[in-house]
Amino acid sequence: MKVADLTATQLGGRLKGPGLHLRTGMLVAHIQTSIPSVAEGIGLLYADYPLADTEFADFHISLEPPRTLRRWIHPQVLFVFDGRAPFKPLPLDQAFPMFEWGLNWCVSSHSHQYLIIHAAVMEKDGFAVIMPAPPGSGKSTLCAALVNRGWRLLSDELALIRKDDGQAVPLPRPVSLKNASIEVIRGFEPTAFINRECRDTIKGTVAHMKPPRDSVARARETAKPGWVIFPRYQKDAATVLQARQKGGTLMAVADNAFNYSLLGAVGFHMLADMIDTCDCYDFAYSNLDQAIEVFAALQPPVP
Amino acid sequence: MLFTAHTPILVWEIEGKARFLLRHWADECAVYDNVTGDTHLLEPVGVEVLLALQQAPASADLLCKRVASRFETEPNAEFSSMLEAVLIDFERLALIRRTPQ
Repeated sequence: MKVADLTATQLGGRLKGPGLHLRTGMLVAHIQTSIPSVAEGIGLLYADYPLADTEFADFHISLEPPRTLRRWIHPQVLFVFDGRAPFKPLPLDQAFPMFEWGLNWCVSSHSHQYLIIHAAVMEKDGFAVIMPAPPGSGKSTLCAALVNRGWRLLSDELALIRKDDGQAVPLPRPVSLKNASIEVIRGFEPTAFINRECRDTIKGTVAHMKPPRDSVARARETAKPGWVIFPRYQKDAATVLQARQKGGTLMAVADNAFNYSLLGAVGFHMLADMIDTCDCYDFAYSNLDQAIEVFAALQPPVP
Repeated sequence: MLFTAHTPILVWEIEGKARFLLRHWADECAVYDNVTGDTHLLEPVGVEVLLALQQAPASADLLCKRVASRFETEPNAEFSSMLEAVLIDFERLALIRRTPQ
């Protein structure tokens, strides 16, 4: 059963009542909320996602207005994980972005069966490209463009590298777009569904793009890391893909990992093994069509 | 020379056995320190210093000769000065320490 199989009333009722067991790749989130904008966002952006046929969930979360007098003057939303609130409340109209950010936090703070890198991950022909980058680098914009041109979305935020075999494990979720990138992607791919914008958040104006149906359907199909590419959007920059050294790449990826230190020597081995098998690049771009061409020409790494 | 005749003789050493994990790529080496949990990116001279000290503690002069021989170069003043900088840097990073001989 998928989210789309529920009517809006059924979805809202389930979220208000027993909760929704939403499967995103290998992970299941149990979600409860009475906030209409969260139900609406889930209905629109997670329509193709399966509901887990189990009562087990990796994360139990809820989003509700805090029980303070303030709620009558400035309505707010509180993200609750396993019965505790790890964040301060946000304005109520930011409830859906808070759901997305909170779910990211759940994974990055708790799923230590993986090496977790702050990176977008896409796959083609069995190989994954891992794009670690700080905010403002154009990572999500490039990710959104690529998944609208044939690349499979594994994640726009969190690369999950499995300890057993180094495979990249999908966590396909709506692609987070910020500020100018929202209109860029609307113009680049008019058929892409992007939900309504939420303004004045801590990240500026944000919106989310619905992942391609194929990426959701193949959400349990892992991929072998093939490339590590650090993107950098720069206005009017020429499109340049430049090889980078592996040692420096390991250090830079470690800087972008959430739990590298926590994993200790295991994390070092995992990361070094991944870097060993990947071709590593810096990528400067300003033109998405040219960027797509460069990525299409990537050759699988030579073993 | 790293030390004058009035300086007590010191040797450099690595505290702990099997302390470092090393991965080499071209002229770079990533080193994971099992004691501190830190990861460092080393250049070839630094790697040779660690490898030499993993074998046995050594004075700066002996280390200079050993490392220079690995690079088939003379352990001259310039090389010695460069090695001194590496040793001070490694000490600051708690990778090595100096102890009386």
